[in-house]
Amino acid sequence: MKNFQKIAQLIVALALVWPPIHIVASYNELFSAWRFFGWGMYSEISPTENKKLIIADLDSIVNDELLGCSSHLREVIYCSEKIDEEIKERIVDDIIFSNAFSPAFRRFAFFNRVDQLVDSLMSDRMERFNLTQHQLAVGKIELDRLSETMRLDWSLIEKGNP
Amino acid sequence: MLLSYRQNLDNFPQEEIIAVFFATKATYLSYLFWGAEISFLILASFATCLFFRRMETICLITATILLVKIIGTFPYTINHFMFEFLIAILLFLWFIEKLDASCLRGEIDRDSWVIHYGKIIFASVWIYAGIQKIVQGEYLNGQFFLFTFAENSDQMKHLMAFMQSFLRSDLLALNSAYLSSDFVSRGINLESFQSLRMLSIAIGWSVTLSEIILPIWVIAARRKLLPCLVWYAIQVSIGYFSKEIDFMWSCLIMQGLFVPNPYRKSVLVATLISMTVFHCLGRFVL
Repeated sequence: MKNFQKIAQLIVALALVWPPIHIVASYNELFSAWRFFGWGMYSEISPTENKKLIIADLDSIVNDELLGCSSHLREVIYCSEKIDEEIKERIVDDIIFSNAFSPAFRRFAFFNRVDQLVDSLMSDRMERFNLTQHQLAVGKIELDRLSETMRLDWSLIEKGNP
Repeated sequence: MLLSYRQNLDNFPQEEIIAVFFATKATYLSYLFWGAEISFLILASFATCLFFRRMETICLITATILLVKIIGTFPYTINHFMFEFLIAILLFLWFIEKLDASCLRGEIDRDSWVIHYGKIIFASVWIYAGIQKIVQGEYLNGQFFLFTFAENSDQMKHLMAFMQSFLRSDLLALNSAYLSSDFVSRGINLESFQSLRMLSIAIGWSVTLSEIILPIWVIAARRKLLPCLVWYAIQVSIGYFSKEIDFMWSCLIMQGLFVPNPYRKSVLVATLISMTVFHCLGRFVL
């Protein structure tokens, strides 16, 4: 009879030990704070240079698609139709981005947990495809909000730099 | 009538109420993920188990559903699935232990080890969430709330539109929620922006500190009713504004375990009924 309680104690111990490990690991960017059963939802590490770049197009977001370009990680910029095409192209080509998040994308990302998902996915894919920091990976990401799973169409990756 | 209600409630240990709560939630999840047919089968199996008071089977089915979801969505699993899975497993272990000992009815009014362990895990969720926000830092600058406010404010929209025209040079200022002197010199009225910024920072810190302080206050307090009420109010606010309604219900039922007797079971039952009605209304009526 006592064995059941001992198993339960083990489960409680694991539940108490894992979150501090999770905090340290996610702080060191081994994985997203939102993932792997920790309690870091909504917490984020302050953006640092050369971390992540995501170009988000509001029109794509509205259509449940996110066009992502990854080079310097954890840097996000928002391109709306208001921005002149020439400026948009210059931004994309230069790959000089500040640490900004647009209000729309920021809100969308937080509520839909996109940025962290993209972080993880981009990191995984960059590793898999052996992309250097200065190469661009272009992926079409479809969000399935109901199941909160994501699928990537990496056929676009062959297009190379946009 | 009240006496009858009390007597009926006395027949149900709080562990059974919790088990039925998570079983109901698992049924709802199965409806969302697998459709009406599967969820109807699951509901029927839960009802049969409940009729024969096979609570350990209910917990096992609940845990299995959650485990399937955890594995199916890994590595992008929603964190609270794991929390609910752990509670279901603890309840399962407790029920089979009691089944072994055949002494379930004797401990109805005492807090069993599963209740204590559930409280520990739940309190740790709040405390660790607060600690992680402090460690990682970004949440505390209020930026998340500021952008949320900005989207809903006409004045902020104008400001954002204005700032977009200086996209290259000033996005850094936008991100850090501190405006550069350039913007001030351009004559933009920043009064509301500054107050929103302070409000955003205040909310960020309030949420973070309350995540650490409230569970400790509830555990340490001799008179637990007031801290429990405050905790409930904060939980509902966080759940509503962050749109984490699903997780909020799980939190509310676990918070119910901290409510002192003789109110506890009523709170647990009220939470169970509220969640069921909310999900039924949300899914099938509204």
